[in-house]
Amino acid sequence: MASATRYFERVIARCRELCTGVQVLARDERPARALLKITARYGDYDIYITEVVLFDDVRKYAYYVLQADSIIAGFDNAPDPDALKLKYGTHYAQHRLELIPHLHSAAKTQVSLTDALEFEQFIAWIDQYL
Amino acid sequence: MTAATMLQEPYMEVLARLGDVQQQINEAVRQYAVRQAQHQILDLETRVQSWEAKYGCSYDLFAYRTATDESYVHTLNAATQTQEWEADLFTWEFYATELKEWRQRLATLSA
Repeated sequence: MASATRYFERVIARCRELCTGVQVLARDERPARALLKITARYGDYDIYITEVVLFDDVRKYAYYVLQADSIIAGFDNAPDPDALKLKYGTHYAQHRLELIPHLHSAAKTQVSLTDALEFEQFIAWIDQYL
Repeated sequence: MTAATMLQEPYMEVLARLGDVQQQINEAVRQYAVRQAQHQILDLETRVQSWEAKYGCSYDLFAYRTATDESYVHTLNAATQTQEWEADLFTWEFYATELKEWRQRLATLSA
């Protein structure tokens, strides 16, 4: 899991460069999988980052931008039924084990499909759209 | 997989008086590995139980519902306490999978 270690170091370093109040809530690296959870302040927003990297380099992520406890935007690749439905239509449940990158907006009342995202792209998105 | 190791003289002297040294070493290591596995399982169970209490179900059921049940997901999205359920899903999966694997290791050691 050396690649996960390097990736986590990069995320933490960039987070410390770009954000304030960075707290690593969890960092757990094991032979088959690695977990990183961070919270930080970026401008007027609280951000929450969760990353899981598996031994085969599969990456699962959830990035949230919050303001006053409300999710302004949330990027993740969980197999959310709304996202699955956007991608696969009525037979979405057949694909329930797939990772589906998507964006939640408007306090999680809207969903749109996205490409897979990393931390730097997440920050760039905040700069561009918020 | 096997590994050779050097045994320090005081231990060697005691074990040699008690019988087959290799057999005693194997048993001591097995007992140590069992204790370590039990410790890991206890820690992982505590972590997993916190999500089971929060969502009122097992990881498998939660993963199934969040991928297939739109109304359930909308309910999670609407509540402040559960709106970040995707982060919980991934973290819960991480520890539930570790727990399953450590239980398998313990079963192998105990067989």
